[in-house]
Amino acid sequence: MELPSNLIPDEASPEWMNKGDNAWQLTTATLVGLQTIPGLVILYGSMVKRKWAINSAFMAFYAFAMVLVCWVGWGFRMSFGDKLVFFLGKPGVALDEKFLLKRAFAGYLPTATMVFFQSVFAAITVVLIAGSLLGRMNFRAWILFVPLWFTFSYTIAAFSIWCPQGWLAKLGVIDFAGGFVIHLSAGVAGFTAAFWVGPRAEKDRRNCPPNNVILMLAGAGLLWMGWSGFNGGAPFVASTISGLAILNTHVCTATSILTWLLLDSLFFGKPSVLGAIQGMITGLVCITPAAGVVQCWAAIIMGIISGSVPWYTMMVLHNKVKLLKLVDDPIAIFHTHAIAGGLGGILTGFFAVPKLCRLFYMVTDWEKYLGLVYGLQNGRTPAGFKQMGIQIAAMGFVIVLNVVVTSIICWFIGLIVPLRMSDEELENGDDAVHGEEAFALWHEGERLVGRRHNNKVYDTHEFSFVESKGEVQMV
Amino acid sequence: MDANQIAYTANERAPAVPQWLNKGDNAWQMTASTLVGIQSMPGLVILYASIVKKKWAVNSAFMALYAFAAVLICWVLVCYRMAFGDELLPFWGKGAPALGQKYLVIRARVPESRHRVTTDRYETTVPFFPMASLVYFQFTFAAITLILLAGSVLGRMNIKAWMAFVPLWLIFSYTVGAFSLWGGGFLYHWGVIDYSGGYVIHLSSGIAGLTAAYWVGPRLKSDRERFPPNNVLLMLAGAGLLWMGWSGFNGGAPYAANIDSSIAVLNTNVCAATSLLVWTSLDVVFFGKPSVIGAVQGMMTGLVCITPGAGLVQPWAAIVMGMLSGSIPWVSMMILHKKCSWLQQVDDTLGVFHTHAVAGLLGGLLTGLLAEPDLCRLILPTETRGAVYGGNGGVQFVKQIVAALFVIAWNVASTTIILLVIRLFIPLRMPDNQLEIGDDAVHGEEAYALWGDGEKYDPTKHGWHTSSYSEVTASSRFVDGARGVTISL
Repeated sequence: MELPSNLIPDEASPEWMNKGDNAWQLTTATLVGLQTIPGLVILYGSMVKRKWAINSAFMAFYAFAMVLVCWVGWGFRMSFGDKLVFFLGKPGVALDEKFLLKRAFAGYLPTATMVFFQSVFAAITVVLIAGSLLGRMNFRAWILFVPLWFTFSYTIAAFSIWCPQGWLAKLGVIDFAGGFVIHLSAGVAGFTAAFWVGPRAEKDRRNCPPNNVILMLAGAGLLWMGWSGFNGGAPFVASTISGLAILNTHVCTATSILTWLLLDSLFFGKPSVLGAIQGMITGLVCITPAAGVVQCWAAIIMGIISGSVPWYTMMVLHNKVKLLKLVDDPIAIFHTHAIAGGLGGILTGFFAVPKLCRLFYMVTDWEKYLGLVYGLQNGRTPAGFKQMGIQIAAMGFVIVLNVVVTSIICWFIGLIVPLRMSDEELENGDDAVHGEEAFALWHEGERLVGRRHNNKVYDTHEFSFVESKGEVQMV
Repeated sequence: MDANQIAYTANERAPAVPQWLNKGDNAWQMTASTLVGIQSMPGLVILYASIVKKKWAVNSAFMALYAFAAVLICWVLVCYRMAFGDELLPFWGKGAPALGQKYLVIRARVPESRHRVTTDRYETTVPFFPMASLVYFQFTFAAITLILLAGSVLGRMNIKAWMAFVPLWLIFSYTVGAFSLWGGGFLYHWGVIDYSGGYVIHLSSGIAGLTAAYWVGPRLKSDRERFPPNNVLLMLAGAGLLWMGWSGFNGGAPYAANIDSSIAVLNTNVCAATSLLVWTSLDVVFFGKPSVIGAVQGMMTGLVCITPGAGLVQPWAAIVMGMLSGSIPWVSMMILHKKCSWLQQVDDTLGVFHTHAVAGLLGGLLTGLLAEPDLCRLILPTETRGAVYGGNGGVQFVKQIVAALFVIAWNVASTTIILLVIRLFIPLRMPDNQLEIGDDAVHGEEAYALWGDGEKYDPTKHGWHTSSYSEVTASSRFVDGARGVTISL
């Protein structure tokens, strides 16, 4: 059969490359990139008390940039390259065209597309950890933390679970788009780091309303819609599974939001937008390990569970467990990512449909993938329990890896710089750390308070101290 | 994966990529859906939140966010197949779930779109991508319709009444419009043109919104008198997402990444730009200053107007449509509205009637005039042309009018009945004490916490203020130090 002219390969579009797949993969990578830049940047910036707006946004902004550089420097090949040990690949650069223009390890795509696609996942994982550390981590300590954690934790989890040569992948773990690699990992690492860094100032812990709810919704919206790329790009092909994954993603999320709203209304009397966003996040996180391999009705069930179990752990259990109360987790990353991610991994072990796993993994031994529900239904109960066991084993591995590695990294950084900001920085916030303030809305667009730590490079004039009483004008 | 397989082959043995699946089309359809989703979340969510008075910011955003989530669940549970499934009545499909992979992973198909092409050849709409992609794509349209409707009732509708209203209107109004015009219903087969939703989405939501605004009742007098946008820049962010996302709205309508899709995207942007410029010019001529909010309204009417014809008119026609959509809704909003006492009575918060009903109707009628026959032949079921092209074009114009009347009548009736039923159980309007306070009373949240050390506004701490821009304040009986307060007149 002769191909039409638009399908005939040439040097720039080799015969192993599919334009639809490449276009889709680049789109999904961009969508996931948008989830962080500007998604999480503005979500963090607006979710925190105003005095921490810039610092929070900056932690995210910096982390994204740093991870990308480390990724092409060594991280991609440690996560997806030739095996060094059973849990890690050999480090190596991904920087020359000879390497990047070859076909990727999976899909009808060039390696360059794959490198970029995977990089935005690595980046967002680190940015999620920042969420646990907002409002008090020494910025220099964060600068060091990013490349260290990325190199010694993310790459190991990614290789073990996603690289076809990783030990957990070989055992048959199902992590469609990162419930374990991204969310459980970030949630546990964030919690551990928050423990070592210490809490925010007492004043900040007590009183911390979001400084800009609308901007928070903007960030949340980019996060939600960008997830079409997160889960839709996981199969590395613009196939039936990617369409199903996207639908499942949004259905689970919508159900989770409505469940969380219902619980908020029943127990607190009022439906809150912040609660809706938390419910949105838990839904997105929970469906991630399962999106393309479960039925849509299962996605609804997962949404109900992800809208209620993390709600319970966050609102009820948290106040009863001493360890949880001890650690200062400002935006509850532990509940929305560790708990929801672990939950998602287990529910994947329940609901993974054999046929859909076959369509997704496209390997000859696809029959090893089997949700417990289908194991019980098809009389393959031992295989179903085995799958569940593997999911739990993967969970355990990720948890232990992160507790250990994150602790070592925090200890190591602590030898060089303090982990927590000084008391003066904690008192003054952005102005002390960055010499900048998030808003200049008062009078004719001036800053609210006098500048005590001028940033001479970007500042144009000094302002005199403006009394907040009696002169504030909201236009 | 077999390393010997090439990327395109008639014999590709990949279970997830069946013979009927075109990756370009599927990729584009999923992208278009995401773009339209972004128009709602966060596009309209933040547009609504920032265009309203600060005290209603959170509530307005919440109505939109809730509608987006609720519509999706109803959509996959029953409504998709009511709009695009097997026929129940000439204007309604049989509802059924779209939840099993058996249904979702097969090739997309709109069963009732089957129409005769020649004496012995029939055609049905069967895109080259799976059902899941179509279900999700159409969901984003249904969701945005509800969110548009919300724009008419911002700032006073009881949130519980809204929560009940969304699924009911989706089931009893949206699916009817969608099936009749898109899913293979009577208007579709008669040959009415609604390329991407001028009637199904915009005329529908504009009329329903006005009707709802009538039944819910108006905002507080003080809110009606003074309702400045609380964050113009963020409003522009939302407007930007809305405009750029429309590439997905109109570009995704042909269900393929084909030549018609390209024309549609181009026309969409041309019409929006022209409309924005005309609206702004009118603002300058009549009010002296170009206003950014006016520019956004002009952009909106342009986008709405081109929607029923984006892939079917020439780009020069898109410019003509832009000129008309930048002026006629301007006249209806700025001049006629102030002269019509009945319109003045109904409190349509964002003027959705003008920007969507008037602009949508205009677009539908202009499409009936300007639809180019060669372009129509690319995607429409019957031989179609606009009146300007002679032939049976005059009849087309009449069909557009009739369809508009059906959509208007159905929406007035269904919206009224739904609200009257809800009113038996839940009051439609918030109680006065909630109307006075706003977000804090309804959600326990406030949009901004920018004062002092990053706290919510508290007059006892941050000072009373007077200025020519903000309201004169007085001691408010609603002061509650820790939680912030909104000033009441």
